[in-house]
Amino acid sequence: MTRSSLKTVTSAFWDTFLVNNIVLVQAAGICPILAIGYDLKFGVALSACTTAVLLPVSLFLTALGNRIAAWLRPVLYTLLSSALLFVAALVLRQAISAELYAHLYVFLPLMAVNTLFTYRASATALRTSLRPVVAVADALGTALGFSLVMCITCALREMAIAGTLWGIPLGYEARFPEAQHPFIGFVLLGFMAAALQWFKQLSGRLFRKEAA
Amino acid sequence: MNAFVTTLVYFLIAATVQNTVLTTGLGASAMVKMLRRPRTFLQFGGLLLSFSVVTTALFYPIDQLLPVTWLMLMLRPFIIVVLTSLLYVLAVLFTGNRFPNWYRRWRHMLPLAALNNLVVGVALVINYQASLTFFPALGLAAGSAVGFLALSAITAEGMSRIDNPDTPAAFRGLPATLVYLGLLALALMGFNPVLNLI
Repeated sequence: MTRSSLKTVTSAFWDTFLVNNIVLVQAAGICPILAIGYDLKFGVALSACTTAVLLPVSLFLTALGNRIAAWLRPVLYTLLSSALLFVAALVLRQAISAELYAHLYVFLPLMAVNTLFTYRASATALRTSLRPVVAVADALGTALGFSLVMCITCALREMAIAGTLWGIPLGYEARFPEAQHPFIGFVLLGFMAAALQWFKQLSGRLFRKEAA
Repeated sequence: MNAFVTTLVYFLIAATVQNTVLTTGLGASAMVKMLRRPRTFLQFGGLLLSFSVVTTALFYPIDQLLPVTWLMLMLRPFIIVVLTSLLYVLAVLFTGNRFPNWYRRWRHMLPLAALNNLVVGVALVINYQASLTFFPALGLAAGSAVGFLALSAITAEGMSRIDNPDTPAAFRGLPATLVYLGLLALALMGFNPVLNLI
């Protein structure tokens, strides 16, 4: 891979992972974080399933490009995502943990119609000049960006609700059981989005100073 | 009469005191995206209402006929996704052929209105989390969509007031919107929950 190609790939990754984070900037994929993002195990499971599905779907749609009508693309990636998520659900239930699957029963299949897929996958498909490796970097950045926000929110809420992290007690007694409700998810995401926005504004000012 | 009253009660619950977007997060991303186009709220709300009610109406009898095995339970959500996708295709073909002017206006909103967490999620939780009969299920689906529309209008109004130079730069835009929605969701916690949707 040439240096400019590597730069393009890393730029595509960092753009979707942090700079234009899918949750904190593009406001996609909020629903599962609010509803089920109160236990780190749920967050990791959902993040792993999302990553495992988003990569092949984005790659497939990039390969397909403009060969299918624009109005049909949402149906195609929804059905494809749905099929892959069914396989992921089967693996989760049969091979990992039936109890974990029971908690994620509603939200795992809902990822197929999550704006994370509908917006990101469609945006990738429209960029027909995208090389497969860049599409993978883009999808990986999106999936990991979602996973980062999901896991941070899950960790904070689990610590507040139960005083544990991944089920391991942390040794303090203060509890905030109301953190299980979606309102705390909204507030946490708001503050995280503000922190990212502040960091980007600060970086922009420093960059402009250096350029001047 | 009893069925009508029960339907109305579930409609009002889903639209107001247990607003589906604020109490479950279903449709939250779609709502935040639609805030950027306040002029299309009513049209989008109408489309969302149609898809939500029709999806629930079609899936409810199918759900009653499905055998209660672990495999069917796993397939249930995916049946709803396939059903919703079919409804979207039918809607595109119907409006594209019969009402091309409407289709031109709606074509960007149709995928988001049809393939939506709210539409699929509400159909999914009925008979799983909340055991409802047919008409109350429709009331819940309709109330969720109307609640989405009402919340969009309230949030757009709130954001127009928050969008001023006094708001810290880091909080302008999406961060303030999310915190605002969080406070609205906190306000709804003052009501005793009638339904447990998630």
